[in-house]
Amino acid sequence: MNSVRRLVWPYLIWLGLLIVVPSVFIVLATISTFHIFNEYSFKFTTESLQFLRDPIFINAFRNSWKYAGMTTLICFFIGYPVAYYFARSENRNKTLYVALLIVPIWSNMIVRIIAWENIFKPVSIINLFGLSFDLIGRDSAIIIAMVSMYLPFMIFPIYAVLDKMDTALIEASRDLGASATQSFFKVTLPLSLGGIVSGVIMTLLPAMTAFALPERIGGGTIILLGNLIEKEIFRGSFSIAATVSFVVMIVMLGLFMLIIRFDKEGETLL
Amino acid sequence: MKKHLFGTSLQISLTLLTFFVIYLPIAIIILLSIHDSQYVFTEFGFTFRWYRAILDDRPLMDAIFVTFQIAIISTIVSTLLGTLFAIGIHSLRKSARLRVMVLNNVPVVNPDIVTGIMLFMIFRFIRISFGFPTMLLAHIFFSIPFVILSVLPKLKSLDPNLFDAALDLGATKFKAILYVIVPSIKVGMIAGALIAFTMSIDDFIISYFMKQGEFHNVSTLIYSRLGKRQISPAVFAYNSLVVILTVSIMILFNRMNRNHQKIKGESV
Amino acid sequence: MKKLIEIKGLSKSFDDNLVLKSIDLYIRENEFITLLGPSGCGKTTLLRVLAGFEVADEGTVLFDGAYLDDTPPHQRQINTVFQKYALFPHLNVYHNIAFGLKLKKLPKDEIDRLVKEVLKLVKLEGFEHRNIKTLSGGQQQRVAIARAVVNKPKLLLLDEPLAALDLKLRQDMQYELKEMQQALGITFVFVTHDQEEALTMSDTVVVMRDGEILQIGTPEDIYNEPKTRFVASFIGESNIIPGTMLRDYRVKFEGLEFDCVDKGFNLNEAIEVVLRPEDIELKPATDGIVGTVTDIIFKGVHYEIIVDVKGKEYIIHSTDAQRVGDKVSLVFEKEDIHVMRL
Ligand SMILES: Nc1ncnc2c1ncn2[C@@H]1O[C@H](COP(=O)(O)OP(=O)(O)OP(=O)(O)O)[C@@H](O)[C@H]1O
Ligand SMILES: [Mg+2]
Repeated sequence: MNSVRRLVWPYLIWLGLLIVVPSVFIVLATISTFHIFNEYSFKFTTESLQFLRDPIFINAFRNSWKYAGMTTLICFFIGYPVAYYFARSENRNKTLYVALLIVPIWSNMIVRIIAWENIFKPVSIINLFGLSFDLIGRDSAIIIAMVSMYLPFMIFPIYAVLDKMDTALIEASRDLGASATQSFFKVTLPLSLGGIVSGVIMTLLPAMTAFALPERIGGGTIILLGNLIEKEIFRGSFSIAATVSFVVMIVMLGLFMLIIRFDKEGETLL
Repeated sequence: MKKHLFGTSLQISLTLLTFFVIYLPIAIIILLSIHDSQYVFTEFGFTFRWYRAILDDRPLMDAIFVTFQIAIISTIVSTLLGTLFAIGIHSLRKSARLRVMVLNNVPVVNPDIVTGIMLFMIFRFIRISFGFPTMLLAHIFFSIPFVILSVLPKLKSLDPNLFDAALDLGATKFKAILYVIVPSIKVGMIAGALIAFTMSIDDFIISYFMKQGEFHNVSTLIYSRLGKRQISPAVFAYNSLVVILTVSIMILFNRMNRNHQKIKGESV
Repeated sequence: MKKLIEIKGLSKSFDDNLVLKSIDLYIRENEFITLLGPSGCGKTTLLRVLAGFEVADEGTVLFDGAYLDDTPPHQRQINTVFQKYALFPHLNVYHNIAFGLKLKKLPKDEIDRLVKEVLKLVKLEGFEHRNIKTLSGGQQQRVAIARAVVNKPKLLLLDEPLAALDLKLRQDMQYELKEMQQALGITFVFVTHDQEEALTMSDTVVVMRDGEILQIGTPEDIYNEPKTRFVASFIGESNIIPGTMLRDYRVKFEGLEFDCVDKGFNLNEAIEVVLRPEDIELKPATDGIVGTVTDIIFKGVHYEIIVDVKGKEYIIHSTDAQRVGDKVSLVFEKEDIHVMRL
């Protein structure tokens, strides 16, 4: 099939234009006076980098790790057993059940955020059931909403690897004298690492950079990196937005290296 | 080998918990869409008026139209292009393929907000007018990698000589792709198209960076109304319709699939 | 007979790996020619160059006297039966076979007729509507052949078409393929790494190693007069003994002198002698090459007897058993001594 290799070129050009070029812009904007809104000058400056020492940034950075980290951890500890349960299940409807986890994604993300906002504010539709919470602005509210939002993205990749895994491997390990627990930790878990890494990334990164969710559920007081980027770019401080994006990109690249180690072609990313 | 780890009952409870947290907001939305009052929640008052209100909400109708228009066009374009690119990538030697796939997976892993900024900058740089064109391009952009990821495993499972066999029997490259490769990977293409469509319908963050004046898709429209505190339950009604429709289609699909399997007497 | 294909100085490399090294070969019309060689020696690559899937780095291919190099695969009058058949999984037997005919835009009834005809040829009448996934390996293989020959190619390339079949089926198919080739009058280029298959089926055998052709000849030539040690050991079992060519028709090995049929060597040139196991007879020890029976294995048709001659093991095939420990003489005719250059 060598003769169809040519088909790759347009894609490389497309990716180059839409990923590589803007990445360079972000780096340039971080370390120089480069600014796409007006003139394209390249004078090296650490002005934007100074922002990384600003308490606003430090606070957002910490918040991002705190909420996204907690969310990811909870999603993992709920998501892994659920993925495991579905993968081992012999129920003939199991693909339907797994597919039903996608449905909420069809419901608009902003609308789901509004639903959680309703649940967490004192006067809302859940009063009908005699319930009322006052959690807007609380950590727990943000984390619960995030878990609800990102849990499917933890479950899918783990389910995909576990479902494909040959059960004969477990039988072989039992046959060789491993207990059920040992088989799990020595065979199943290591073989599902690729899925776990993908799941963690697909949960952690969107959570760290969310802005609509923290804004609504946080009551406008809790700022994550996403909020920072959004505010700065629409305020016109392009270089600050680029600098924060640059930090996010570095986190992403670090996680990306992990993916490449476990799953070269990214087959678990779907 | 029936013994399960972490106890089956724990697994089942966590599974139920998962469905609960994921579906709770959906349930709340449906409830909001059939509750008469926007502000009073002391007593339930059933109504369908918010469903009728969808039709009267011009900006919402426009936004729905934009959302579906973009979803349909970007799904078709990204499925076609993604399939062709995947065929090209598949024909590369392993080392080259791995390198291209790393690049391919950047947009997949990249947080939406960074993708949004990147596209914002480049479109600004090459001076495409913001609004419909940029939103469409952006949706095509983030869909293609997913199509490639779902088509590539199907290509790998094919007999490596399939394409050559078609050429051997007199097909041109184009016909070989159309008559032999495409039918053999159509499951992957359909899966890719579904993902592309879902992502496009759901997207908020990237679209948010492509907006221009009063041009909105559903997500950006709702977000802008949130800021102005003028959210109408018509939005919830629309959203409930979409969810109910998807769930029904899925259940129907599952039924059909099962009957199909029974007839063919083999599992897929 | 007329030359259908002429390959001249053909070289091909993948990255830095030289896979075909200046191949020269011609193929006559109606010939059944076999490429034989160990795994990775470049057989498939050579076929793929002929079919047009790979472009050679150097050299040319002439087809019926005309340059073929720039003709794309779909315009060559050459069809291929692929290593694992490459049947189209989404099409049934009929549509797999009709694939090429439809591309030629033949009328529907003509296609029907041709498909029927070829199904009869490959003994698959009534299989038109079968899903190819439900066919056995042998049946799939027949569909693959039918799909290729229905296009009436001048040259049919077959890449280890029998490799996936079990022994019995394989032997039947060898016979049928040969019959089919004669009935159709198509030139066959057949690839295998099974030497027995090559010897039974071919008019001409081409022995390859590491991208080079070592020897071309009739099966008898190749078997009886291997030119190199590699060919000798690859084709059938053999005893290979170092020796000296004293002069024409006189060779010395194991410290003894023998008459032979070979000539054209330098005086006292160091050579190797090939003795086929079935060409050696065992007699009670007298003179000549004498050794001790160390092992005897029953192989069905014959016994395989291992004889130790001064520390060197000889393999002998014989229908008569011997006892382990017996002293024996190795006896052979002068025609059975094959001398090879080093
Ligand atoms: N597309 C390719 N890219 C790189 N190397 C290749 C390619 N195709 C073949 N090779 C290499 O060329 C050499 C010859 O391969 P070829 O397939 O022709 O061998 P073969 O004789 O058909 O072997 P077998 O009997 O195992 O089928 C091998 O070393 C193989 O690894
Ligand atoms: Mg081969």
